[in-house]
Amino acid sequence: MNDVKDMLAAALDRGPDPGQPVNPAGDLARGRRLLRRRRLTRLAGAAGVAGVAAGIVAAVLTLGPAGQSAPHQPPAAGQHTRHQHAPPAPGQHPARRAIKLVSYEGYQAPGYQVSEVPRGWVVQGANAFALTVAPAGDPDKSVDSFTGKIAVMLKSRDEPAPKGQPNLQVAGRPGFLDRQGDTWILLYQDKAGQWVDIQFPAKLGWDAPQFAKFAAGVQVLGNAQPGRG
Amino acid sequence: MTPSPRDEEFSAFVTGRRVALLRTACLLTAGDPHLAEDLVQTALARMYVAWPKVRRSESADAYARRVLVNAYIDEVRRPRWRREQTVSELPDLPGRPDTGPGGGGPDAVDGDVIRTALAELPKRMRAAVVLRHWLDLSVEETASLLDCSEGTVKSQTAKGIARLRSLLGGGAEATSRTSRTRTMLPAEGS
Repeated sequence: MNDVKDMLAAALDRGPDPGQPVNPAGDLARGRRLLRRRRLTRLAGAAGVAGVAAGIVAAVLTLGPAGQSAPHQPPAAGQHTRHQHAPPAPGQHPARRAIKLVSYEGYQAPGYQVSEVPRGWVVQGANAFALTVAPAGDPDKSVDSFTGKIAVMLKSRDEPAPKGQPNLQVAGRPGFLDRQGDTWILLYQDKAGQWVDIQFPAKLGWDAPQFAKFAAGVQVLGNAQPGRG
Repeated sequence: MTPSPRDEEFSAFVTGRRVALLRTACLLTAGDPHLAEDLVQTALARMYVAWPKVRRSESADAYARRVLVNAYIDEVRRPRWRREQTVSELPDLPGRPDTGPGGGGPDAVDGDVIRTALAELPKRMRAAVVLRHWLDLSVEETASLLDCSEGTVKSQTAKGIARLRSLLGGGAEATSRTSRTRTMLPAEGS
């Protein structure tokens, strides 16, 4: 018998009662509102109202109404479902021309260092939570907007460290590459031991070694902060 | 309108797990039901947004615990939202009929007294006690959630239990003022 547990249980004498009914409608509505705000924040760049409207349409077409992007069942307890998409092997996309990685010596945003970028792309900027790399001249200048860009950030504090077998090595360190819709997500541990999350648009046409090569050239410095959710 | 898979899965999770999350939040907040409800709402909204990640995680429950604890730590870092005040002595509290002499057993202590004692603990110390002893998490899991070392978890939990023991059982003032019998609490690791 754990007496501390009994004592803590006694502290709940005024509820909530374990058997009380739950209506999930309120939480569902709050979740949808937060998701909508996040999507709008990411879509709302400097492109103006027309750009925002087009982005929303694109997001809806890409992602569907909330949650329709991934119609599979949640994992059972203990079941590990990471890596539902194998990383693309070299040359796997012969029909799609990959954008070549080239050395980068342009503007560096505070908190990050990038040594290679896709040809014709530049470091757009960064805030405390993310860095964006986008095609030069991209009208969407907002670093809060990730659509069609490479976004580098620290792993969300709400997301546990990945477990299981890495499917990629980034400079000899474990990485997990996964595809969600038109986005590749690479989660890897950098040489400082922090987990870095990089999101790539699939339009880059890259294979696994190219994702790893880009990541190996990224440094996330001390003033970057992990996000939430 | 047909609900999306995300909506269906999330609703099922909320239906099954919300009360447990709320009870944990009540302990983390030392019995503040409003703050506990705020934390659970915040945590569940973040979970809905991150539902694809929740699917990929090993356990939705573990993910929920992490989001809840992070929401709690975020909340207690905000000075303007600090609703609990540390006091040097436990306040006088009304007794309950079933915990007085002859009722509730020899170790019974009023919930109000326990909540007040919990409120005396520093926030992270209280979280360590709740995570270790209410959720039965391991030292390693607790350290991961609180983003601290395992040694810190052990020491914080031990100190927290000792402090609770002092407030609830060892403190003659508290027991005499509230007419409570002693509650013996084990040391961490026992």
